[in-house]
Amino acid sequence: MLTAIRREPAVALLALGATAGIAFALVYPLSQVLIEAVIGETGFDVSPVVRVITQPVPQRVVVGTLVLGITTAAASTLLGFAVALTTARATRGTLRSFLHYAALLPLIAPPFALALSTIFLFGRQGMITKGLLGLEISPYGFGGLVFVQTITFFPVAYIVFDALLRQLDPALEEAAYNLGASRGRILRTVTVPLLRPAFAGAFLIVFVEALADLGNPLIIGGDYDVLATSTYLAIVGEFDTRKAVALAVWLMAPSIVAYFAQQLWVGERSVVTVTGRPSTGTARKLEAGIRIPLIGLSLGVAALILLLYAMIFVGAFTKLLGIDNTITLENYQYVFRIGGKAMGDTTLLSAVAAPIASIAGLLIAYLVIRTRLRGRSAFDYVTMLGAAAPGIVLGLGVLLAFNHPPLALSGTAVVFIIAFVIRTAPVALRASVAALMQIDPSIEHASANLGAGAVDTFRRVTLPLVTVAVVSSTLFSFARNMTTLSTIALLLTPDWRIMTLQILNEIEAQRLGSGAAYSTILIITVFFSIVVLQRLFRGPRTATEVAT
Amino acid sequence: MSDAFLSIREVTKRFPNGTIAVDRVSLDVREGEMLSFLGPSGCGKTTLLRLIAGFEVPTSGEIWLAGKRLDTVPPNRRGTTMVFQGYALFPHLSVFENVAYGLRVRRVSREDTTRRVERALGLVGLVGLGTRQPNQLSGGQQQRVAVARALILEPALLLFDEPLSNLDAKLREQMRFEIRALQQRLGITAVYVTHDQAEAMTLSDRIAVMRSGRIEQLGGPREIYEAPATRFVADFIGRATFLPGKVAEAANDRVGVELLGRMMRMPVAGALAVGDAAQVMVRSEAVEISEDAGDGIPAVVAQANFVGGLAQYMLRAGEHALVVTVPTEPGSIILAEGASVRLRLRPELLRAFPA
Repeated sequence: MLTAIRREPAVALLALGATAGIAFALVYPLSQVLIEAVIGETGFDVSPVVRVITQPVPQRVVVGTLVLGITTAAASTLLGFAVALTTARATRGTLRSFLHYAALLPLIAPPFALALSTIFLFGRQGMITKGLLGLEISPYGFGGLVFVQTITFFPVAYIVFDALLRQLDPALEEAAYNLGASRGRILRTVTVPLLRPAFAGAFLIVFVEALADLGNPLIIGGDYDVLATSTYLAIVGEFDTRKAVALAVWLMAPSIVAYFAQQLWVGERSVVTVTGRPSTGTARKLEAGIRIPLIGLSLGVAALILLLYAMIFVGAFTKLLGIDNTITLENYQYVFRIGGKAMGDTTLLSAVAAPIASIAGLLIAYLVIRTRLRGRSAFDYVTMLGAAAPGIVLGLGVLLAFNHPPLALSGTAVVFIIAFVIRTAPVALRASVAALMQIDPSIEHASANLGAGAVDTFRRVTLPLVTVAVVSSTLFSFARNMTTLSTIALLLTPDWRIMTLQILNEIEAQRLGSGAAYSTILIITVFFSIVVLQRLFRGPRTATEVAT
Repeated sequence: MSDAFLSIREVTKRFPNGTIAVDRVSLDVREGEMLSFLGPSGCGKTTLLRLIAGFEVPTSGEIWLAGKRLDTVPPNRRGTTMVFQGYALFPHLSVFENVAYGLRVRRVSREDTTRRVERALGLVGLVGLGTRQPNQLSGGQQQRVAVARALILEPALLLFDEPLSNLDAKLREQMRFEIRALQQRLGITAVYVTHDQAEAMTLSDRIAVMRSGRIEQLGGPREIYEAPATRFVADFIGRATFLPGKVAEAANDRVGVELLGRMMRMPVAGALAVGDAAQVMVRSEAVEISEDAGDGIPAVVAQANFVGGLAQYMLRAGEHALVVTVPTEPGSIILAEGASVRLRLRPELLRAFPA
């Protein structure tokens, strides 16, 4: 370390800054949750935490949370696999692109938009259940939750399978074909076994997402309580911090275990099956007997997604969809009248936090990948806690940490920005790590060899080569900030208005139409900022495009 | 040594995993000389080069350049520019900016930079390509940019890390001549790492043949070819067949070896005493093949291949096999497989090593 400081003072300074930043914004808040959980008025006391699983009511919530998480994860994994198989092995051209983008669409929806349109379609006054079929079915509860969560989170599984299927060397499947296997047999004996890490990875990621989900259970959960909603209500409804932290501990534990299991397991395994060299040739289509049902299923899913999205738009233009279908602009007028501040505030806070998160991610990635500091991987693992811990737990930590002197920041923009940054910096970190690993270290060695110091090399060589990764993770962070609910749900303040919270209020007050109008505006804002900014930043080349 | 420009003194590099990549190597490079590190992969040649460039820090030992201690200087202040394997061109910068990079870092004035970049591009034959991006260049052109980028700083020492290994065979041969001509014209001291013996032979004033982190032999191209110090060098440089023999007499620098039933007096490398088993290096130029019956060693052509201007024979003499390559004249007859021939060995071209 001493020699490192002497050789590269900039690196030592960066390491110190990163340590301080992570400690302040992430470790301190999360540790507050744990400390509150085990320190009572009389000193060390874990009984509230233990009571969560010994008493029947909270115990039912813990079990319910895990059952929901496992069910949603299993359903999303299977659906994600089926759709990925369709786009990779059963369709080409326009149909493939259509299915691909339709499957990605739920990623840019705010967390409860799909719950809202599910109520429009399948609710007690639902257009399909009541209107079309004349049924009186309630979507509220376990079944509705699994449905909405699966539609919301299967795209995450889809991305995992899609990436791995693309990277699979077609030569492996060709070899099996060449040896006489049918395409169905190849799928069973070659493709699926090679995708085994993807099944595990997709399941674990969706499991973590489902556990952290706050918006859908609040809106469509009915009396099916989960840990995220119970934690939220403990603070918002009961003002009972001790109960909230006890529940938060039980929510945090399985999330963090599942998250790091996924990182370690899938990170290790996928290297074995994926070759770095570009594959030649394209994979073969499956035979009709498999292909046609797959296409049918995927088209059905795509149609459902589009329908759900359409319902949000339609719902926003009607008085109360299903009951009074009069076309109206009232909802928008209402939203613009009372919601202007929320739109401005949310966009401002999101836009300020996003670049901070991606620059923090880049600098930490640089420390982890490009320096020889002892213990550098600790930066990586600790930062990833921001993605592993459920949003409501992070929010609770931020609330507790900055509620009292010396850091009495609650109610200020700073707490929102801290919450946004620690939530999205892990994504920026992964993107920057991937980008840095693609840069041959000899390119940076060449810079040093030609006389540049670490700062010069970073500025002149490394930074330009990772621009694309930094820009896209900034966009991602922005979109995620705009649409997140769980992370900021507890950070109530009269000074700053957040759109997702406003939407939640509207829905809870049964003003579904204005909730839909709000959601529409949010979706459009996110969509256009991504499209526009991506156009603006198309210039710089990535390292991979250049064959050296 | 007074004429040492670069001096490597007892340098050892042990990696954290315990591998000793460079093992107590000492070596002097003279000013204006081009010296190659030649050896199979894993012999430590690249590590030794990276120690000189400063990308690795020696575990023990010292490196001196022009009378100054080098191994304690950070890599960016050494003035030992390098041509990288795979070139390591900056993919986001134009050819001009790649070559200008070192000058930009040193805050050289605009006019000076332009002038010097133009001259460097001229030296490597890339005039007018300054605005191109690296990925718009062929492999050979990328190679020249890498050379220009390193040359422009007028380095005290120029380092080459297998710079030609990514090029196809023809281009590789052409670049060899160009690099050698440039180095001689500019009088630059250079260290060149390669696993390709032909490359080392054409380019170098001297070659250090390396094996397992040590220098096996240091000498001029002819010396290491004609008088290899060890069996490893004899095997690695050029082609040779090794035949077992038994030492029958030993005197000064010659030994008498019983080989294929004959007694032959030949040069020796290493310690061989009467009665020892020996391995005898037989290169093609030591073998004469004749079809006439005579007093030569009887042999049979087991396999004959024509390889463009050369005929390659696998010959069987008793239980031993040897591979011999001979030039062919256009229209001349190539021996048929199965033909019986007589072999005559020129003893002064053979070399005996301890078995």
